[in-house]
Amino acid sequence: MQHSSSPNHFLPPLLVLASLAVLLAGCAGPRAVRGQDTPGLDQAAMSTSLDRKDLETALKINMEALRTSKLMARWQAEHDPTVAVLPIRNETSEHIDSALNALMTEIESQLINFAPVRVISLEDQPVLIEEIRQQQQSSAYDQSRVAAWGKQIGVRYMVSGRVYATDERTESARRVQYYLFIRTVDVETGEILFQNQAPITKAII
Amino acid sequence: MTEKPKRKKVGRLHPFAALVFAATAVLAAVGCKTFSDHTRQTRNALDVSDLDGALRATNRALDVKRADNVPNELRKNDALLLLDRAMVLQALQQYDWSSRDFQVADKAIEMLDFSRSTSDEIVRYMFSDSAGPYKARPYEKLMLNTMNIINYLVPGNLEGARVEARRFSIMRDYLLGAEKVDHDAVKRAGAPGSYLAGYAFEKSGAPDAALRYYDEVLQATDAPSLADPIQRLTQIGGYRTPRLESAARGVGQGALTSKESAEMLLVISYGRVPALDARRVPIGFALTIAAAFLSPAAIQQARRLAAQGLVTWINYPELAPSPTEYPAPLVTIDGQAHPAHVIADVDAVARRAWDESKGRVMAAAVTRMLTRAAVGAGTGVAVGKATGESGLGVLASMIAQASMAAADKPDTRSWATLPARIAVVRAELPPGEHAIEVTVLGRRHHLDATIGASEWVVVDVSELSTR
Repeated sequence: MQHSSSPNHFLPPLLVLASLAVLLAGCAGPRAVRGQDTPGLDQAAMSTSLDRKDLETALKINMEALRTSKLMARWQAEHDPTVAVLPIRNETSEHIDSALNALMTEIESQLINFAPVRVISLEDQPVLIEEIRQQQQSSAYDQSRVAAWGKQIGVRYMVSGRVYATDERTESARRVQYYLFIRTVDVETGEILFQNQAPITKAII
Repeated sequence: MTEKPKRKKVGRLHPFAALVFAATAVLAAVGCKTFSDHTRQTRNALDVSDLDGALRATNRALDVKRADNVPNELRKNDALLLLDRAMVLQALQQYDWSSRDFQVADKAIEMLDFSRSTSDEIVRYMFSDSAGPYKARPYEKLMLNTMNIINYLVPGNLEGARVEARRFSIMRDYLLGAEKVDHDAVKRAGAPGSYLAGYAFEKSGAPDAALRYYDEVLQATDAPSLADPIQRLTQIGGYRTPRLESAARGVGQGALTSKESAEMLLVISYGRVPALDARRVPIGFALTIAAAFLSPAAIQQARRLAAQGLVTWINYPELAPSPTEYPAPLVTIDGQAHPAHVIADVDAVARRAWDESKGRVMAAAVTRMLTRAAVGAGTGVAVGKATGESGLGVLASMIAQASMAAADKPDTRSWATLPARIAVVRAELPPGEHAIEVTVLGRRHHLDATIGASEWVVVDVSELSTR
């Protein structure tokens, strides 16, 4: 009886349990998951770069502003004028090129779905899009070129955008404040008919 | 009747097992590989200019099969291993993959910088400096973005180069504003980054931003190759400093670039910064170096242990021998010699950073030794009391100390594939094809470049051997 009630009696099962715990912990490696099966996966920020949620937020802000702008009334009056969307320029401290390409396509989709315009895709004009990208390499990017490209494509309006960022760092944190500007230009006159800014902040704290 | 022989059996068997364990622990300590041992193959391959061999070695160290693979989850030293692979890929002119590795490492190092783990600190204090995640040194952080700017400039991607330039500036500004950072070393290590960032903005048509960066270069070093560009930029930009004005004055009007001429920037990265090696130094010598960072009580305790012969050596990382002087590269373009100007002596910055941290690192090693001694003594007393045999207590003390000594690996982690020097040649050339020959560290590199009128091209040559 004394022997069975000794603390040593519990030692072997405890050791087995501890070993199992170690083994199980060792099995908990990375695994592939699906966004719709993992609540909150798309909500969590994983870096200071722009992710899909950020792009949706920025797009929503800018498109809401466009919907209620005077430009929309003008488009309605003109009966389906042609519009092209230019690649969005990255003036930030993050490599967000693919996110900005996705945003450009999303702007096209939104215009097709809700605006009284015909959207002309630049994808069918690779030479021109290459020229535009080359021009956009330069910081001293000439806005008058936008109107010239519009004439070359044969569209009435051009939508362009750029993203700036204020990036600050301390010993324990880094914060990136993005400003996404979208503007629409009349190709004939070069007049800016719509411009709006959507702010997004990302940080590591 | 039954208990007594049982106890004797324990007394007989445990010392033997303990001795075996202690011997194993000591052997483990001797045979235990440090980080620089794991990455030695990469450096050995680079020393014989075997870039493919170096790439295979970095892939093995990362536990991946190919250069397009990145570990699914980065382990504590993977960011550093990715930096090694990024350098090898850049030398192989695989700029996209090199840039990808730099970007992943950059993000990982940033997260590690902000992480504060108490358990890591305890493990570092008790066992080894190498136990916690790697914290990059200031010059390594600056060089990361510097080397990645090259990956964007060579294929002519100014937008990507500007992104890296901005990242570089954020880090440089942060370091210059931080306490306990050698600001002079930051400026010296930042000179090549500022040079390349300035070039990216100059070619982007942003003269003021370019002039700001070029002024940073002049704060750290002479840069004769910048005199002509600075004069051109001051004619269209408004940013001025006495350094810029002085640099611009040194150029004759005839030296200005004509509108039709082409321009080549040749960036030569050569040599390697010294790696860290694991060493054992006598306790007396260790105390001499670490004295300024230890309390008088700790020094006294260490001397007492040394006098008793209980501790004689300290495990410690030290810079491996490496050349302190490198001959300047010889460059010809179309058979005509062009002087190469050194804009960074990264090895000197690395040596200075190490010299400044050496005392603290040694003090940490002595502190761990004292901790081991205290834990060992406590264990010995406890075991002696529990068993009633003082000999067993002494053995238990030895086992505890030997086990902890076995875990104490010197922290030899550093970015050891960084070039020792970076030199540039900036040449105005007629448009057309050009043959470039670079002789550096006894090896000859032949390259061809075609540049159109009013165009520019960046050519990169990496020779990451040390002999």
